Amino acid sequence: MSEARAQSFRFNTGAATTHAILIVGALIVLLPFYTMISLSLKAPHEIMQQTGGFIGAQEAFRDDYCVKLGNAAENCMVNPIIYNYSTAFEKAPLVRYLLNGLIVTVSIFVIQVLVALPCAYALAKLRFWGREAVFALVLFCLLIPVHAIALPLYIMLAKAGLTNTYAALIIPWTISVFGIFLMRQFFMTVPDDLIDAARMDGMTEFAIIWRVMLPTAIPALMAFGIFSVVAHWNDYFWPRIVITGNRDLFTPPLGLREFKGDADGDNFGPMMATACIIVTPLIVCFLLAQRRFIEGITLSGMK
Amino acid sequence: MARIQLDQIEKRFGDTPVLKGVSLDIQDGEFVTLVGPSGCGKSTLLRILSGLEAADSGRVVIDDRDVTGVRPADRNLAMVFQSYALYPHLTVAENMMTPLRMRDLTPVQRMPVVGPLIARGPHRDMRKQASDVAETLKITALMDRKPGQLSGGQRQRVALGRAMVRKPLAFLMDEPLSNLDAALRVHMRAELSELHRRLKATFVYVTHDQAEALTMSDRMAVMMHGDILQVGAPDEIYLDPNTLEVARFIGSPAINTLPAEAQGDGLLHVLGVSKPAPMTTTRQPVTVGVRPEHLVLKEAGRFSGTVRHRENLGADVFLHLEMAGLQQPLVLRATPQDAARIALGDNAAFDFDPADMLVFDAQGGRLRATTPAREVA
Repeated sequence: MSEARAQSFRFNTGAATTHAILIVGALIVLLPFYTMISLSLKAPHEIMQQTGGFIGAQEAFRDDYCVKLGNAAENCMVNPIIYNYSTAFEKAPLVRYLLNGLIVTVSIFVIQVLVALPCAYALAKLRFWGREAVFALVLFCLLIPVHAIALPLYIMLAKAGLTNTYAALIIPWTISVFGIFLMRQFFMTVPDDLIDAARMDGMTEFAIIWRVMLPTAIPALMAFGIFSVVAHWNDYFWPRIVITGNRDLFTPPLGLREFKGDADGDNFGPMMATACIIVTPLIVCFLLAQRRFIEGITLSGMK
Repeated sequence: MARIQLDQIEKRFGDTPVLKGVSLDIQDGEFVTLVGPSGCGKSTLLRILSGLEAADSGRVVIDDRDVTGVRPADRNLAMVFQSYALYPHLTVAENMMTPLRMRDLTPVQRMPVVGPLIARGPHRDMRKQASDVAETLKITALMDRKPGQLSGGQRQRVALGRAMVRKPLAFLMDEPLSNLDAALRVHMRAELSELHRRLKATFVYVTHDQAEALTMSDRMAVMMHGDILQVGAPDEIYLDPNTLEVARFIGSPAINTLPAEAQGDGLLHVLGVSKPAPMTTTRQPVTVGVRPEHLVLKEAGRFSGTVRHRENLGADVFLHLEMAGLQQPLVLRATPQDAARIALGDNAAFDFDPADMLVFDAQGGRLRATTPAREVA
């Protein structure tokens, strides 16, 4: 018994090295995260002087802004955590930003699916002249970086009078070649018999897409959904370009700017608190869908 | 139910001809099997009949209605696939109701939640029909399961059920038993025949397994190289094949073939033995086919071979005999009693009745006698 246990705990240099490297890698990835959480918990002077460890001393400090508004100094003593997080919500309409983020990412994902599924179905299962050429174009489009076409896109939206609207945030992303490619690869694995059976049962091609292909493609759609939602929830570049004046349309990452570069200097505590709030929905989603997510990644062959 | 006519069907995939002008007439209520080796075009023919594939030329006529350009759903045929092709996300009951939903309900009535509320009558009818069929197939207990939770045999039944609910003009089956294990396959053969008798519907059944074709069909069509070589009742095909290819394909173990020389005088020489063969009138090389069950062990037999292998099937023993002048061993069916007297390596004498002999010319065409052959002992 004890011998067996000794066997199973035998030191393995190879595995140990692997884990050591992985741990170092994980630390590098987690370090900015650690800083973000830590700064969102600390008082401004602790942040500036880099003292206080992870959570700081949590002593009440004087809120200068509150004093400036003419309140008595003793009424303006605040706890760092409460100050950071409440300022995040007060100074910027963070709930509005989160809602914008939700509207934009969900709209993008829904329209992407509406476009990608029929395209992928046609590319995977229908025989038509030029199919291979179209698919080659899809692959080619995968290679084009967003930033390369940002300017023409912006000009088109501006000419159409769409800047500073939800449409500007959504329209450029509605056709996802990555989505088409991913779903096409998945549909290739669906047996032709299933589609023939659906045709025999009287379904039209569109009925086949929504009634047969969509339900069987849920795992692949989950994977694609995660890629899509994460990319557009976190996107700073595009909203920064097309949303210029109207703060009501800011997405969560744009909300971070509210705390940057004021005359009285950067306010890191509330800024990091905002960052924490922005990433929380994604982390919660990931934890809830972790198993599906890993299935999806393995399925799509993306790593 | 339905009479189906296939008229001069041609189909090419690229430069490869798959079907070369195939015609077949299927009577109402008949169980017709298309049998042939893989790649002979039988599945393509079935798909053209179903409408899933379009023929390059030729017509498909069902009950005197030309359906060549009609889409699959409007031909009112049901198909059972080799992989069953059940919808993995739907329960057995929903799978079986799908053809009814698509045919009988309007798009509004098909909507989830709302549909069943606004169209209670049609939904109740559908459930009734599905449960009736489930009862016939004894799958009532499985109605709430998903296909992933079913065994192969159960999935097979559900696929049949999905085909049966809408009472189609004909059932098309594409190797439906191929994915089942051997014992279940034999059992399902009997069950399919029983189902055919009960439904009195037209069945068109595609298989590469000649045993399935022989056991189930009213008539079978043997297909090779994109053509139907012979159509007829199983007995007719087995006992009276038109060509050497058909004779070789039907029957297990396969028919024995012996090179022979026709003398032109109504006799032929097989391995040095003379046999009366009134079907031959000219001198020519021929091939003689004799089924394993027609070779008889006989002390006074004029042929003899060395036993190289014994295949014991319990009721029968197949002896593989090696003979000088033959590359392939001959297979002889013996009773266990007779076979017990012969050991591996022994010489066995045997003979056959010339009436059981099938004679083919050099091109593989059958030479038929006008009068039955009799051995002048």
